Amino acid sequence: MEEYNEVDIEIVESEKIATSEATEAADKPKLIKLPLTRIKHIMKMDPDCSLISQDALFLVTKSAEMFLEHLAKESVKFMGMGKRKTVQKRDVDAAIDNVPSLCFLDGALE
Amino acid sequence: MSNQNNASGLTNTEDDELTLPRASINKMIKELVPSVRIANEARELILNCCTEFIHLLSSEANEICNQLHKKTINAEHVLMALEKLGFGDYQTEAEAVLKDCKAVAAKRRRQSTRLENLGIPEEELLRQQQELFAKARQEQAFAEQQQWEQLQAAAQQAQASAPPNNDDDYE
Repeated sequence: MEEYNEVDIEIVESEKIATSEATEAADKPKLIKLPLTRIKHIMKMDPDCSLISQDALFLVTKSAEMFLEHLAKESVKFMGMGKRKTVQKRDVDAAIDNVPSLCFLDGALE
Repeated sequence: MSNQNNASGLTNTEDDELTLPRASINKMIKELVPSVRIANEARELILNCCTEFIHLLSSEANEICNQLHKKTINAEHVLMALEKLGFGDYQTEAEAVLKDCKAVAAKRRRQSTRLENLGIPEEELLRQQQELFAKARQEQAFAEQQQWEQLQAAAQQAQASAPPNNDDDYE
């Protein structure tokens, strides 16, 4: 019956690999939260856009996440200054007007 | 009108309407500032700003890529674009995440080959599988044979203990 034992070991090993991967994924927060494919499509809307490497796509995605964080937190600051508990559109507008790195948005949106 | 069906789940969407998914954005905002409520109008604006940011960043990176006479936008171009646009402070964290992503991907590749490297080649596994099937078939056939023989025996017994034919009638 020895050949059967070898096959059993094979099955146990594969289960171990699957479990350890699942545990790892569960333990750590996701590295990237926004969908890569969607962002690639957004980038490709520009007809002049060249090919994009996978690394570049990761960086753009992560940058967008960081930008979101930045914008959200700045907007919250302005909400706080207005002594309110809900972020309104005008708080986001205020962030755009007052934070230098966000000024590119002024007029960029309809 | 462009109908797009792709892995990210877009269906029947005009290119112009392409934005980041609202659900992802809302989830992220919730995690960033949990105790704060956000008006829908504000969410929408934030969403559009992020999409606009992507346009800006990729446009700048594309320009740098062209200036360097390359055909593909690579990581270096994006990092330079961040610096140029005033988001240089994003560089460190972005690079760190990229490094982690690559490490995870490499690990996953190694693990998928770990299975193949257990020392049992595929042909051998196949052979063992065939053996198991053959054995199972044999056992099945044997069991059926046994059953048939039992039935036969039972039937014969039943006949034997049944009342005998009255041959007297024919004499």
